[in-house]
Amino acid sequence: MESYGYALSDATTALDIDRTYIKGYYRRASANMALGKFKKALTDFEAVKKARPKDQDAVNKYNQCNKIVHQQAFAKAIAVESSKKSVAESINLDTMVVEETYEGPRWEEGEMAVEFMTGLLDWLKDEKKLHRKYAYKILLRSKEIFEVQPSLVAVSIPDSSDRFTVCGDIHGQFYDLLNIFTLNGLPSQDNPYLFNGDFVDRGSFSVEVILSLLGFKVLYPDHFFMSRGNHESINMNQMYGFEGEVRAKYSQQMWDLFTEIFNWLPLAHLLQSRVLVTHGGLFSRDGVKVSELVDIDRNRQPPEEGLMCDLLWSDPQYIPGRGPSKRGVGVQFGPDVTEEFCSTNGIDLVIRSHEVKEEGYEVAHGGKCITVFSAPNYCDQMGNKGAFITLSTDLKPQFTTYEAVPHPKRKPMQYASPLFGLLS
Amino acid sequence: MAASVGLPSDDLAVQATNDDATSCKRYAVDRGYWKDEFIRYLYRSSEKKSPEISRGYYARVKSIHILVDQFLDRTQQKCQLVTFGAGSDTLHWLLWKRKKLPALHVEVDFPTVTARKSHCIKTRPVLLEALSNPVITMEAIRSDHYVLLPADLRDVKSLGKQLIDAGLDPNLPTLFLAECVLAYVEGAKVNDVIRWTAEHFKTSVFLNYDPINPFDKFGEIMKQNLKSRGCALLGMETCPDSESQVKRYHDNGWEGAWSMDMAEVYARLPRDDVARIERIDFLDERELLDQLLRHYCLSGAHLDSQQLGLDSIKL
Repeated sequence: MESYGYALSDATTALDIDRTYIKGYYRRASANMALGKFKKALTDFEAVKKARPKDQDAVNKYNQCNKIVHQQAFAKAIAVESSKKSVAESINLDTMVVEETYEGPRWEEGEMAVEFMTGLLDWLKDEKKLHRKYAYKILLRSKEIFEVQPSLVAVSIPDSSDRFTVCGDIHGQFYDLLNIFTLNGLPSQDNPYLFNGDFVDRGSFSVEVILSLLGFKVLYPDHFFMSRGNHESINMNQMYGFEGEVRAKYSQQMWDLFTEIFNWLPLAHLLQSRVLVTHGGLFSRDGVKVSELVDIDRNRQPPEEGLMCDLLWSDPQYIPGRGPSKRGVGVQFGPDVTEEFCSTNGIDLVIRSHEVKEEGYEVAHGGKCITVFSAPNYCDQMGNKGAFITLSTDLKPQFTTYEAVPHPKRKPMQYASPLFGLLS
Repeated sequence: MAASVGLPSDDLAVQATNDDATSCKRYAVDRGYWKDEFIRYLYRSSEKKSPEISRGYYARVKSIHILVDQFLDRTQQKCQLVTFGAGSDTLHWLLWKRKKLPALHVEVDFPTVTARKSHCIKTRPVLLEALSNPVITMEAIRSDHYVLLPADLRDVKSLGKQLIDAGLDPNLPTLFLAECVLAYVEGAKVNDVIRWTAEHFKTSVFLNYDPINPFDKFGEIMKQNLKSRGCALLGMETCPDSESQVKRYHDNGWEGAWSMDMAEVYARLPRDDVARIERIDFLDERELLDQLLRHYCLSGAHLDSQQLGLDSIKL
């Protein structure tokens, strides 16, 4: 086997002596190719090609090498996601010092206390910031909880309570979230909640929303549930404000940690084996079994098709059959699709979110597909009501609707608020 | 100085609407929604805007440019353009670049706005070179084919005189453009302007872009938001929908009036270009765009004493 390393140094020496020694470039490039140093090889092949433009072999070698360089770059780009070291591992809470002057809620030793969460809600309501140490603590702890869950989580309505509340999109509307808790009570073992995705983006208080929800997850891991929405993804967060908001209020590193947590959020929940709750909806193909959803490999950005994509992106339609999604991702599914899925799986009802509704909710598909959307006056523009669903042990849905409540004047993250809409 | 009818309106707040619009246009241009190499000289780069805002501005700018082009073609540029509430508009330079200037283009706005624009033009060679034989004062510009005119739309007598003094020839076909301007002026005064133009320019087209449908929930929120900014849509109450837009033209001497909401305009724009811009930013909630579009309209009317076929100027 040729000693490429030696060949390399020989060639380089020769070139030092005589810059026009084309063979030298050629030899060095070949050696670099053999050593896998394609970028370096490319530079030399280019020199050879320039000096000998009619030399077909030189041109071929250059083209070959160029192709490899491009392939490598592409492979590297798509591999980044899976091989990146977890941000969570690099965070050391012990080195974070909380100043004496910090007057907000604290969580130091032991389990999180209820008072921490009630204190947190008040603190955030006053537009104050949770100390980054405790924010990181909530994030790290919630990640630990989510990453051991299956992609479809089975939930039973606890004996201690007689109801279960499902909320839809919140989209950073923190003050409307507080209003939900005022109307329906704070989460507790007697008052379980499921938030069905799209917690962040568009609204100006996404950080406050997500810290509160994840905080309750940590406090009541078996009585507080969160499902991933299409907005719990990098592309959406970059476009619609959450990334900017986290960077402004905390740091890039915390944003990186959020993306890891979002990757671990379950994709759907099954209540009492009879009610499926997921953010988007049902599937591009027939015959999907609930057991398939359990095993979805979800620790990733949402793909452009497949079960995970459908769960996060699809929408019901009124007419039977399936149609291409008006969103360009996912699918639209008709009442027959819902019927087929429900009967295949022994399910009575699909609850989903994802679409703004004037009354905050909409019952479709003969009562088998319900949309619930919990962000009233969405984007300070739509004038819609918000809603949540309460299910008692008989699983019959009850709807509560509400109007938007005032919030501090804050323009949506990173977007100047044009005077209004397309005015001016 | 605020008008006394209806909600109080602050002139400065109205003038600030120019900044908002230009900011949105600048962002959209930077994102590639349409080409405008001049806007950067009139407005700094701005913060991110949500996709529905960019698409809405695209529809507004694109549709107006298409209609202006139709007018220039039909009159073979032997015509005039008057832009009311021109603000930081770059239309003149875009036309100059394409060698499609009318014989005369008059831009009208409040003195504080024209002063800023005048200063901008004076100090930026890229803008200045479009003007031949310019005479530039604090608030105004005169040149062979471009006039920047400080004036108040609410004083139609004075406005009329200033427009004629600026060199407007009532015998030349003239396009009057009011892009999101009339809604801020009280109804009676808007009628005066529309009537004056009809009385003096018998071969002409009037185009306006304005908000409509203020009486639904969206409209309520829109008015509340504006009120908190000191800005009242005085004109909108009197002309809140397509029918009244059309009627206003006919009542004030114009003919062949039409009005369509921006959803309809959007649907009529060239499909391949719309497909292109829809790929720029992914829109997560189409309903946000649709709702916006339904609350703005593009309307127009014409008078055609020279029978140039101005009735064909439509999307």
